[in-house]
Amino acid sequence: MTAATLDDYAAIVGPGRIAILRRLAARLAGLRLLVINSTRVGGGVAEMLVRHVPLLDELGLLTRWEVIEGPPEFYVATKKLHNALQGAPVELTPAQREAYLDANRRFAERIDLDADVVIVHDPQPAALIRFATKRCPWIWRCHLDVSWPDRRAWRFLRPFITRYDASVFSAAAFAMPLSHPQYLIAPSIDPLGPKNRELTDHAVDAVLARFGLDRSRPLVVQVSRFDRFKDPLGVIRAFRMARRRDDCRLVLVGGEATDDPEGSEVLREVREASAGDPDVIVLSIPPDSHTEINALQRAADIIVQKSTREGFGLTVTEGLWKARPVIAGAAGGLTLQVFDHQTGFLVHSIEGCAYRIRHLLNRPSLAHDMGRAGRELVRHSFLLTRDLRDWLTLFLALTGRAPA
Amino acid sequence: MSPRQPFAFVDYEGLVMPTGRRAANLREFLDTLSQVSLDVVCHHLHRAALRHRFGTWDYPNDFASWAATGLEDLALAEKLAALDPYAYEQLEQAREAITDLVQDHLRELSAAPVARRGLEFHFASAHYLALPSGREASTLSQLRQAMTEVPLSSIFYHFHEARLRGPGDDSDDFSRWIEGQFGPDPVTAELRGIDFYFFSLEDLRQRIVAILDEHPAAG
Repeated sequence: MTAATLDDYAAIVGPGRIAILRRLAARLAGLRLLVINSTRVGGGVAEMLVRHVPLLDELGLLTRWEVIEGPPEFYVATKKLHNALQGAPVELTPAQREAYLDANRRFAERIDLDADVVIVHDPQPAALIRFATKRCPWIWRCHLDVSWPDRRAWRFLRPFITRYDASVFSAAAFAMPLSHPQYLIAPSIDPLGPKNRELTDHAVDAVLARFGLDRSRPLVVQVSRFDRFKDPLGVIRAFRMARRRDDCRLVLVGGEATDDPEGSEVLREVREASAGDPDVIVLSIPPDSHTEINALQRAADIIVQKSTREGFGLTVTEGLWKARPVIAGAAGGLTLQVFDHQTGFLVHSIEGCAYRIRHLLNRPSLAHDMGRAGRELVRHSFLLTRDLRDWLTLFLALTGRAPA
Repeated sequence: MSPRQPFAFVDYEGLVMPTGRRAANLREFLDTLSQVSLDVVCHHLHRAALRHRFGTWDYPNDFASWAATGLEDLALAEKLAALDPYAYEQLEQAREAITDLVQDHLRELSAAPVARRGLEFHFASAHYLALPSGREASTLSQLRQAMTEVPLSSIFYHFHEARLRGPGDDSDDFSRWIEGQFGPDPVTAELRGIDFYFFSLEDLRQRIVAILDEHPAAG
């Protein structure tokens, strides 16, 4: 399938929004962007970059995407750093700190850093700036929920972050006391990508059949990596409480990102917790199973995302775009998408999650109205055309290419 | 605007800039409100219309919205919603009015309300760019046509933001342009009479179009 071009999005967001993108980009023609993250496959960041890079190029910017790599110790260190920044009380050992810094040092030596703007995503390559000669604006783009970071982890990372010219967060709650400007840019989904494009009922049923599922009973679905912050064990408990009164099935579906060594351990715990329960279906599928995810979300009666920390929660955005009501933990970026009683429910406990599952199963017209509201929210605020517009605005602000 | 100049619509694009400061209850809110820059007060008081809303247009500023949804204190939300930010010549005066209002409210309560977890108030300012869009109108009918097509943020710029550009800017750009082009016109009085603080931007767009429809095109 050919990737969508900008004009293809006009039918969804209106031609005016595309015209604005072109007008903003005209002031940035030829701007050389260097984008850096830690994986090309798996996870929301990689999925966004896969679409951003060609569309920014279509708009006349020159975008290069590099991925930091390292030995297994590097990924262990960055996963611990990731967890600690999201509030887990874990500390990097001196050896892990060195593995982190060494991978960043080697990466700085390996790649060409010549650009007009450098954008570094998340903590994995954040220390790169320490080993680079800085000749242009550098932006740190943090996708994590850093509202209550472990202080030791933040003290380790902060000296690198302060070298940047600006930081970008997904929600105001994540902003830090930093001396440089901080901006909010919510992440986004691609409505024309394989994970979100329209599917026929037949296509949805075909995917369900492959997993031994059907739509004869209500489906409650959580799509996310097997990560403790996503609380998959809490979802199973909530589901079992709800099922005592209301017939339904739970599907927990996720893939493992290449930069997440902890995923297999959490998956094992989830399989143990669901063993012997035919109504709890655990699917670990490859990270490029976009059509499968699309179909499972469309088949869902309710989308759940019971995270205790969440940078943004693109799987919730995907569910809302498919006009499904969402029950979400009141955490991080989820509160930007799930407006209580409007697009779904925010919950604060396993019991709350169970209660709202029952609530929605018994109120289909409410679920329907929430789904419609959610789709319009995403159309306005969380599609990739809005994301691109924000980035172009930021580039204009940082490069001085906008009139004063 | 000098005569014989077309009306030039701007693209108004911007980004929210969080300060990293938050309030989980009313006392923290008052403390922080007294310390943040006036850009922050301006952002929360005047730019709420730029955000997506559900259903009816309930609360016209971020402070009132937070009182309702974060603190679930509907009495405070009502008081903050009723505050007219355009009644003050200086933002500092608006800040003082909000502070007085919240302090008076706190005195009536036995305990300061606390926001639900995840719904704290996050203080922010914003960085906006006003860029020529290339869209122009030389007649009222062209203005009316453009009004249905330009982004809502552009209407915000020409209607809301127009009043914030400096002392004495108590009019929207549209009526100012119409007056400059065609002299005094009943349409300008009607546009200036819109109590826009209670309109979503889509409602405002429709109201402006309705006013232009009621008057035959002068241009």
